[in-house]
This record gives sequence, structure tokens and C-alpha cells, in this order.
Amino acid sequence: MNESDRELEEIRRKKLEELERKSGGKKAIDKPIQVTDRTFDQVIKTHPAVAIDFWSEWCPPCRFIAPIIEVLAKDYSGKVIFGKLNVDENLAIARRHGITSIPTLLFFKDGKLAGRIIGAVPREHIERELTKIIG
Amino acid sequence: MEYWDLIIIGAGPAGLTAGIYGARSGLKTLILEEKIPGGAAAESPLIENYPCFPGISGRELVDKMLEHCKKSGAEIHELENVAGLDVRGEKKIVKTNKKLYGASAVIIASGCSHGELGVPGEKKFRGRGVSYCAICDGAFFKGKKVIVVGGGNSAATSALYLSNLASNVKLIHRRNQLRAEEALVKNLREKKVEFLWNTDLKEIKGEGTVKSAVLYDNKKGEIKEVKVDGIFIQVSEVPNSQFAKKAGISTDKLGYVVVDERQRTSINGVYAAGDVTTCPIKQIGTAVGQAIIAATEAFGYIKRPYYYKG
Repeated sequence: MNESDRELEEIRRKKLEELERKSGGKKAIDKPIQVTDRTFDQVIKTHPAVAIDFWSEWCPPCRFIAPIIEVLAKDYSGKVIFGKLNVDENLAIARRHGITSIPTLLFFKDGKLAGRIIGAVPREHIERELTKIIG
Repeated sequence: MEYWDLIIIGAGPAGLTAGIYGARSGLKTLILEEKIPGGAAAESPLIENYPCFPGISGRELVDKMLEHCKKSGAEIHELENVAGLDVRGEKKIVKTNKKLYGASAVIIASGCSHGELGVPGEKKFRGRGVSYCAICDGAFFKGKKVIVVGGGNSAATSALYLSNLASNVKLIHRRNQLRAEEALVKNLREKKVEFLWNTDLKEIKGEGTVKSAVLYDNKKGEIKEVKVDGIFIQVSEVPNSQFAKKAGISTDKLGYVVVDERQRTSINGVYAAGDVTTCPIKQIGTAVGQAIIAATEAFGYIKRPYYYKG
């Protein structure tokens, strides 16, 4: 790498940082994020309030919950991070939490389990659990 | 108030079929679905007795019905549940969690919910070993021991589905024979599903998750405890008819909506079809047939064509 390459690299890095500060850095997440067995611990540790939807492609009640989670992720943007964990591909975390039925929603406050909902429930029911992990 | 010719409550096979017939007969048709379309049929791992489909998953079948229904012109509102019904007058009023609707006729096709056994441990271990949907939760029991409770086609298909995943499947039934089709029973035997006849599930025990089940042999009067990781409950179901009952529509003592051979309920202009009705056969085919009658009758009631016998 010669001198001009290094300079270019430096400019690119600064530009990227600037871009992140402008958009991604400040902007709150308003969509459910994909969570896997590998990223799960990181997600619940990094954010103070997290709700994880354990789901699978083959589960009809999971399809009922999905659009509600989408809307809640938007409405609670900046307050709660919503994650989706596909149990077909990620069984370890589900096992760790004794989950044997989906949909199951787990709620975490400061990395600690604070609530659990099993089965397809209306939005209001989910919101009651959310109040426990906010603030 | 938004006005429709026909409002159908529920988007399972009965509701979707009524939607097809209602819309195709020219009625402005709305289907209200509390959850998502499909009903109980969507949870069936495999359906082998619906004509034209020697083997199809419940979800695939209801997706086809849904597509057909939409194509016919019926409108479907998901996640909208009926909060109240006033069917006393000529114009029927349907109140949901979102809106107030008027309709000339109503078809109740709200189906049934999963029946619970009401045994100790059932609530405590729900989602921790106790399940009501084999296709949803089967994957958690790969290589494990499970029990299926029930004696109908739902219990048999669930046991069959689980036999491909679990290391051991016991089907327990309180009688000495199943209600399920012989073809399914034959498959169960081939898959080495264990039958425990004359057996009641008395209690579910565990620590964190299910560890054992207390079984009672109702013929010998013996009690035994068996080690098990999962319990799938597929017993008689509960009709979703509370709103109908409140509106003064006759139901039987179990809550099923009483219908005559033309799918008429006790109230003029209100029809019912599918699992929610007193029809003792709870099949997709019968739900579809009942829905065709209900929608055709509703059309006659609203439009009074020359051939309609009121």
C-alpha cells in the first residue's frame, strides 16, 4: 500500500464514520431484527429493553403474531428492540429457555428475562408485558 | 356505518367457501377474521381425505382456498375480531375491535378453539412441554418421548407427524378404539405408535419442563407414571360462539350454534357453517358443504329470487 492508497483509505473511513453518525448512528431501529443463537446474548446485553419472537415458518399462530410484532417494532421504536429468532435454524437458545411451543415471546430488561408470552395473543396482551421492560 | 350485503365471521374453510359463493353470487361480501385466515385446518400436518388432494398439508390447502376466495372478490379483514352482534332487526349490526358494520345477512363460521383437558400441570407446563399444535412444536421433540392425547383424526395425524421426529410416541385415548379413520390407524401401527387404550391423563409433572405424565387405566383402575418430554393435547374442541350466544342465537349445551338442514340459526338472516355448528362431523369437506348451503341461503334471503323458498 503506497502513500496515496493510505490517504484514500483514511478518507473513506472518515466518510463512513460521518455517514453512520448522520443516519444509522442516531436513527432508532423500527423493524424487528433477525436474531440467531450466535447473536442472541449480544442483542439482549446491548439493548436495555428487548422482546424476542421465537417462531417458525411452519407454525400458523406464528404468522398471526408476525404482523403485530412488525407494528409494535415501529410504535415502540427507540424504546424496545424487537428480535425474531427462527427456531428451525436456532434451537439452542430456545432450549436454554425451556421453550417447547411457538410462538413464544420473551421479554428482557437489562439482559434479564422479565416476561414470557406463549401462543398467539392480541396486541394489548403484548403491550402489557412491554410496560414491564420499558423505563 | 360501513354497509355490506353479507358478513362472514371467520376465515377457515367454511368462511372462505362462504366467501367464494357469496361474492360470486354478486353479494358485497366481507369476511372478518380474528387471527389470520386458515382456521384449525391450517394446523393439520397432513390432510388425506379432501377430494382432489390425496395428501396435502393443511396450510397449503387453506392457502389455495384463500387465494380462490380473494379471486372471487370477497374482502377479508385479518386481525379483526367481533366484539358484539345485534341481529334482532332486519339490518344486522356487527361491532368489531375496529369498526361498526351493517349487513343484510350474517354467516357464523368462527370454528373451534383448542380444547383443554383441565388436568393439574396442563396450564403450568403449557409451552414447556405441553402443546396443542404438533406442526408448530414437533421440532422441539426430535429424538424425545411424547404422548398424544385424543382419539379423532387430529390426534391421529398429530401422532403420525410426531412419529417421524420423536423417539417414542404414545397415543392415549379414554376409550378402547379411535374415532380416527382406519387408514390413519393403519399408518399409526406401521409407524410403531404405541396405543394406550382406556387411559385418562390425570396429571402432568415436571421441573422447568414436562418430565412425566400420570396415567389412569379406567378399566383396570390402575394408575401409573410414565416418563415423557412432551404432551400434545388433541381433544374435543370448544366452539367460538360466545358472541353468538350473547346476541340471542341458540346454541346447544356445549356451545355449538344450532342449525337446521339449510344452515339457518334460530334468528332470521343469520346462518352458521363449519366446526362451530351442531353438525357432529367436523371435517373440512363438511365445513365446505355447509358453507355452500349457508351462502346460497343467505343470497336467497337477501335477494329473494323467484326460486327461493323462504
